[in-house]
Amino acid sequence: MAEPVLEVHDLHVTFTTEGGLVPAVDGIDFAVAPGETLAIVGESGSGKSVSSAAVMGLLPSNAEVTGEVLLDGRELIGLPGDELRKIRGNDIAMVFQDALSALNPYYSVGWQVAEAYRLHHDVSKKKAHQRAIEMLDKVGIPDAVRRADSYPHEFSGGMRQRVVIAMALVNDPRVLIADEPTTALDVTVQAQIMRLLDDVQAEFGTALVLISHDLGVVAEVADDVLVMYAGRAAERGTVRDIFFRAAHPYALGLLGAMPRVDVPPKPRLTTIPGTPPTPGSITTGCPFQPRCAYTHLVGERCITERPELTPRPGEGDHEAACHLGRRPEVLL
Amino acid sequence: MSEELLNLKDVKKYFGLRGAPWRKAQAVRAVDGVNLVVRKGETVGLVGESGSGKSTLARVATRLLDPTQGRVEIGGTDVTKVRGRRLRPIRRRIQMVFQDPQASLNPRQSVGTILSTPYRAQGIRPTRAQLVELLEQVGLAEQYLERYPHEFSGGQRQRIGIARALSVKPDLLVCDEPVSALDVSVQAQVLNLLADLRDELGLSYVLVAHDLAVVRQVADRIAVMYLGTIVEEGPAAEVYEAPAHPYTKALLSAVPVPEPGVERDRIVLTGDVPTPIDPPSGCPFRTRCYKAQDVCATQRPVLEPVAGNTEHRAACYFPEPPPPERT
Repeated sequence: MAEPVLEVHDLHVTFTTEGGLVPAVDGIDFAVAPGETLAIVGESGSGKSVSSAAVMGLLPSNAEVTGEVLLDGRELIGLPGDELRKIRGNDIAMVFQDALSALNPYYSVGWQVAEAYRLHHDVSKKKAHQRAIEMLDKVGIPDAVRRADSYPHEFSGGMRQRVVIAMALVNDPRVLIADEPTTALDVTVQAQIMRLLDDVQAEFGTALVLISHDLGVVAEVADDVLVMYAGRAAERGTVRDIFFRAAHPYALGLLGAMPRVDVPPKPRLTTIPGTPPTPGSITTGCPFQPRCAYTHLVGERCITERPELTPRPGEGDHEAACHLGRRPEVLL
Repeated sequence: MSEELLNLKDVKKYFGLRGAPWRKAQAVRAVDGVNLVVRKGETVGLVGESGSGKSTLARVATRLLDPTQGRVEIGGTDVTKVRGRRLRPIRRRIQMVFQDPQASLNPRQSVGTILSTPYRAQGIRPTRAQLVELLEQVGLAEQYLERYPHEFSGGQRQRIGIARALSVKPDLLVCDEPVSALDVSVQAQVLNLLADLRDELGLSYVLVAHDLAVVRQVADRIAVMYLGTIVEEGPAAEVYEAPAHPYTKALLSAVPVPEPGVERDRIVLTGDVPTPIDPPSGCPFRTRCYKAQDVCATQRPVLEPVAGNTEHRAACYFPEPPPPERT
């Protein structure tokens, strides 16, 4: 793998709430290189969105962030606000799930894309507007010159997401974090947006961190995958490591629970019993243990001792955090 | 052939758009002439993108909305004109499960009260044993009867929604996006539950969903909607293996598959779904279709048998050829 542009080491995020301390992210590591795509996969409450917000420095004041977030070797955690603002939107940009709330209804889309450019470049309004039109055209807005004067409500969901992507890419960021960018979209539009992100990466060499719960999308675009569960890394590896050699019972369970459109249905989907734990509710042992079908093969260790990521057979840095230590057989 | 539970005949549902007084009144043609039959024991998947009219059709079928035109027959009787109290005996046969279990359960009522409401609407006082049996049917324990919706996870709430729909022992459940708000691992639990209930109680389903993989998992028959009309209908296996309508083909090809390295012959459609206020003339899909010709703009194509198979029908002038016979 090429030199990573973004590296995250031992990231912890703890929220102080009325109910006490909530550890939303409990020590994760990841890295992504230019032109590569890292997918962070997990269910609600797994900490995948909080991790990306922490990287961007977008968490509220009751969140305590520790660890390292290195952009080209430069530490971002603890940077003062004005320094961070120079980086955010310029070197690292973000695309959110809900494009409608990411856009200001009061301004034309052209103005909003131009503003994002002017924040980081000392240029005339006219020049910024030209740049905005160029970007809108690049993300596939038809008739961009005219549509730049339209307002967000005049666009469809897919077109709005294109505008948000144009806004994120206007400063040629090195890293793009996309948090469920296609979840709110129909599949035909999702296919358009995923192709767009792919083209953008090929053209600009952007490193992409894709946060998603859709394993189909992940299988298609990711190079590396990090599977999160209850704020921790359950497993990580290349996309083929995860899909063909999953070593963590949770990753295996997720794969079995996905219905597929391209093959005749199985008589029954494999399921994971129970529901994901609330953050902080499991303090000892493996957070997945209460839902795990393999505990009996290991015994008490699952309840008393926290599994750490250990190497597994695979293409590269395939690791899983499970005491079982070998690939679990599929139970039905 | 088994009994018809639901028969929709040329159903249309238009919503009036009241704009400024000097503007001409407009109508959103949410459902624009749909025929659909659901027979006892079968699961019909109703798929389409947002704005295709699938949810509106589900609401017309359960008589939550009045059709603008057409007939709704439930269990062989025409119920299009039945209103108010007289609908109640009909509702005993057909029940609905909603997408958002958070919004469809009253936060101020205990699960016991929620489950007994349909009984009381039918003039029955349910016993505790009946309510417990309902809970057990959907995999929840007796102790949950006194709890309130906020104490449950999304998957459990959806189970409560299903239990409530089952309380009056309906023949047909209309499920509108029952799993789209749930996490993948929980979604599989609810899909398996629906399959178990079908086997145990002989239920039939209309499953409205945008997720084509979910529908493939449970449906026997599938109807694909686009802009208020059904463009293709047939046995699920056939429609998924050999879609005849270009829209179905494009839709299926757009779904990503959870297996790295699988190359899909993807047909990426350009543009967006046109507005149902002013749908295109002729075939509603022609503006995005890769096969469109002049004839497509003239008259709306009707559902016709695909390669002589009356079970599998598509509304297209240039349907995809059936796959060569496997030998």
